[in-house]
Amino acid sequence: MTTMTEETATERTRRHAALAAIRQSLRIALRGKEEVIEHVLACLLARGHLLIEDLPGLGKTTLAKALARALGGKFARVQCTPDLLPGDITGFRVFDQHRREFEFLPGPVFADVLLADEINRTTPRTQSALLEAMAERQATVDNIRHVLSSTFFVMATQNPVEEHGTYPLPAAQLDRFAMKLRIGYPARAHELAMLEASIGRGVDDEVVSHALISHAELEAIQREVAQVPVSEALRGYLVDLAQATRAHRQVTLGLSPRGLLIWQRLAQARAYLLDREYVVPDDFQDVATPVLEVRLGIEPEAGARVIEEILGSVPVPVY
Amino acid sequence: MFSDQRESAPVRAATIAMSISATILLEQALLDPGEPRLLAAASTLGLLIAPMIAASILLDRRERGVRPFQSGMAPLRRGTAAAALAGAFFLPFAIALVRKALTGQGTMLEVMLLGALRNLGLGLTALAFRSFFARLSALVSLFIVVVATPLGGDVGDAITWPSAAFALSGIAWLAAGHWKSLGITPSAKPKRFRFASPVWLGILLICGAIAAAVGPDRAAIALAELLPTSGGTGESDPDARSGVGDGDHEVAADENPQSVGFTESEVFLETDRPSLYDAFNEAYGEPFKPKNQEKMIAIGPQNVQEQEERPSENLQAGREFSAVRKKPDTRSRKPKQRDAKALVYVKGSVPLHMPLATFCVFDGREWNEEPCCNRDFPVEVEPGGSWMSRPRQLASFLRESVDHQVKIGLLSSSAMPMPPHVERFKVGAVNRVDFFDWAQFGIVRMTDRTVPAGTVIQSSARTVDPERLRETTFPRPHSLVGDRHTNFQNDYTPDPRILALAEAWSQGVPHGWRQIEAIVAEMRGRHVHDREAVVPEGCPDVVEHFLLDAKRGPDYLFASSTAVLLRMLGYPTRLVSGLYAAPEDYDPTTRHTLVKQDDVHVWLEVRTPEGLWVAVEPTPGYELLPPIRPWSEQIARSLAAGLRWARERSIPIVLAVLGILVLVARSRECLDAIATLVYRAVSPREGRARVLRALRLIEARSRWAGAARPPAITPRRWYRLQAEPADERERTLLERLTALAEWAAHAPAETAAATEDELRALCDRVVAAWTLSRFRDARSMNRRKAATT
Repeated sequence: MTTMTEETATERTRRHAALAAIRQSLRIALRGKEEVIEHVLACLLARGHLLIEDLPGLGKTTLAKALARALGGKFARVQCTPDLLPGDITGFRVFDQHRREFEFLPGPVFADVLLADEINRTTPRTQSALLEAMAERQATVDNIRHVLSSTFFVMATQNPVEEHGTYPLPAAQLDRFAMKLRIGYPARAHELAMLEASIGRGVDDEVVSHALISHAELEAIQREVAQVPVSEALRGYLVDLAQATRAHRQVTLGLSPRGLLIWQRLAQARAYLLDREYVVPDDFQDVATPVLEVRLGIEPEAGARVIEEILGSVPVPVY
Repeated sequence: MFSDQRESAPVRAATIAMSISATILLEQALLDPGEPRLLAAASTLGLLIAPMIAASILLDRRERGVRPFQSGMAPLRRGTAAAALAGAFFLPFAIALVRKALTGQGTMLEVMLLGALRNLGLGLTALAFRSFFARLSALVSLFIVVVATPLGGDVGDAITWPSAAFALSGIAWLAAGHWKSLGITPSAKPKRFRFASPVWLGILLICGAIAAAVGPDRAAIALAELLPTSGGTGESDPDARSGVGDGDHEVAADENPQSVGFTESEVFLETDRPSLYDAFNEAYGEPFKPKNQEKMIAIGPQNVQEQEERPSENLQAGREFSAVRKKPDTRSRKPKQRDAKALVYVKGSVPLHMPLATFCVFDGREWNEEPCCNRDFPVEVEPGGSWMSRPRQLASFLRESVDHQVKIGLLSSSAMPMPPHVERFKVGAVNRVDFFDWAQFGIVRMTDRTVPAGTVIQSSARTVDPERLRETTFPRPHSLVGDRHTNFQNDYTPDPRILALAEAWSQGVPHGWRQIEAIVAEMRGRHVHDREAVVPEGCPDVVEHFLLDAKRGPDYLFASSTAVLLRMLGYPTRLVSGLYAAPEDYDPTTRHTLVKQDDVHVWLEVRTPEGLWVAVEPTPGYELLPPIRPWSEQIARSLAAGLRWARERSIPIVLAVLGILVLVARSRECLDAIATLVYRAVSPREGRARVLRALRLIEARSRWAGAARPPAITPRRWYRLQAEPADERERTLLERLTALAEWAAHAPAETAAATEDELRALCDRVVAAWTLSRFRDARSMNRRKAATT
């Protein structure tokens, strides 16, 4: 028993060390954005998908590529345009003249980390091709079901400024993202550090050139995250928060049960990242804004205030 | 309970306008006819509306000053708001109770209720920067307007203008609320609407004018029936101002149109119009007990005519309605006679002496009735009514007036039973002075006839203040020689022992009212009231027998003996026979005091230097009506009595006050000491429970220091902010406690954080480090820091 416990502790220490290494590599890739990095990691451990909404050039792709390299899996990127077809994402079958049979050519969804850049520029038809992949981690092409990577992780980006010629993501699509993040401009000190670090560095020089965590370990961590206990009082707190979103008069679309589940899982991931064996109310509050922003029907300019009002209207369970 | 949403400025402004309109309308509606309406409106603005607006501004500013995370109302402030609103609501009831206790005047239930609602509405309006309160305020204002408009009746513009203002404010409120729900600010409304709004306003005004011109005149009055004291309920309320329940004078109904009930005079009336009471009796039949039925009729003088047949009479006070009744019998329509049970029925303050005859000459056995004073009857009819008034009697001992109503029952007397020192009286609609005359000085009678049974006599009489009588200088005996009120019949000379007795009882007491009181006190203390006792038939001097031998007897012996004793000391006295309304005979059902046969009473009166007769009550068991003093004097006397009481107990009171002041000034320290003691004494040994108990104590201290944690913020975040100015060790302690509290509350049972001893030690260290004063220091440092940044 003691041996088992020691082994478990050793495993846990090793996994946290791997997570710390990933965190460090992301910090180097995206300077001064600790909170964003924590959210990205929480989203990864919670088996969620991430929507990043920000201006061009703020590091969205850099972040995705750094994460893909750190995970050691296959990275794919799709630049979404209006002429992008669903098959361009899921893959398609072609006739092999030599073998006289159809051959399936897998699309980018068969990567471990998929970066869907400017997702709101492609048509709803193509956007919806991602639905099945994101929700069920499988792709069906010509009635044939293809299983995706168990650690399949989508990072989609969209530009909030140029709305001309875009197709806003429908609510069903948005609800499949675990959270929506904004990276924002870095602080002056971090920009200076970034400039300094870029001097002398070649285009292909990567900060991290090898995987920091194995596919199996990531799966194991995701399983452990799912087992982090959440007290009954906290589950009640979460349901109260969900009901508060539905009762708020400025929210046209409240939190769905799917949103409730992903919020809990993100809080579990947050607790795991902080090396805590149980969830506390702060875990829910910490991830509340990105979780709610992506799925609540709120006027964009009122989002932060409404979420603050919702969080401020539900007492936290303390005793 | 309360919504924390902030109300938009337009809705809030409309809410305030609605509240102002409703308040002005209500105050105007409750105003008595003839009172200056502009003055009332000004006082409403100054005393009610201005404080509300000031409170609204102050509370709003305070609310805006709260930090973002405290945007919701803290629990204490919710409680304070609720308590303030409840206090405002119940204030009119409390005032009415105090008023009733001090002056005996009641307040109409609707007035109290509407006053309570008005206060509640104003309080809610002051808090209207929150949606919840704004909506409640609008609702209360609407209710006030709906109820107050029919109450106001047809007072005209005083009601119309506030109603119109309320209607416009209500429309603005609805529109602003709708804009708010759509997320539209008033400035974003279409420009054409600005031009359209006066047009709509004009159309509305025209429609209103048409409705006022052709609509039913007093349709709204029908709403008054919904109110308890305004009729329709069968209740009788002396404070009611209109409707069927308008006091006992408003005679209501009758079984037979040919029958009548007395109103306020002996004028018999009849009508051929069916009344409410007719409808009851025809529908349900007569009650089984005829003595329980009431016969009243509601008619106007324009609908009456003389009746040849003597009608049946209702000579009792009050009305009844029996639910146990016979089958309807339309053959017999004549009501039963309802005989009186008492000589008279008195409504008003009791005990009450009502003189009917006075006697002045005494021969040791007999008193002879006093002749009528003279034909000069200085009474005038007040303009516009049938009230008779006498010139105001100037005497320092006569105090405020008290009102009474006396309904004649079995009594047959020309003298009218009224309290002494009557200034005004009214006998129904009789408005001619030559109907009345003096019986004896101070006693009014009906000229050449007895007062008819059923007559209601209303009177307003001055009360006598014995304390001021003590300051009155009574003339010395020699100046009253020849007065028939100080001398006796020629062949009667009281026993010298009686004079000795009078002098002994008044020895050491200065001449004047105190001497009279001393004699009366001895009479009441040394002698026994015995109705059955009689004087021996051959006794030549009943006074001598009573004072020196029997020392017990009926009230007339007490009165006779006291009159003789006082005359021997030189005071003019006279014997008075009349009626005594005893408090124990008060009937709460009819709210009248019954004066029966055995309430016939004899007492005496003493003449004051002003020539007025003042009642003296020597018989034990009988009391005089206490004086009614002005409010200011009552308050001054209460204060003086309170000061006397306090002076007698000065040391305990000073100690108690000091203790209370210390407790109030240091209430939080006291609470903290108690809470800390409780924590140390009964803190649980189990680790998790102890951690949570320690956190509760820490939270209480933070709250008492003025930094209560908002419920939606976790302790870890809140106390991290609070502990920012503290040193590293203190910060770490507090952070460790909040982390452990999270573990205690949310971690699975198998997850351990530390040993029991470590947990206990940590909790004790935190409790010792983060005292109430430490929290206060941290809070003030945080505030200074916030101010500088």
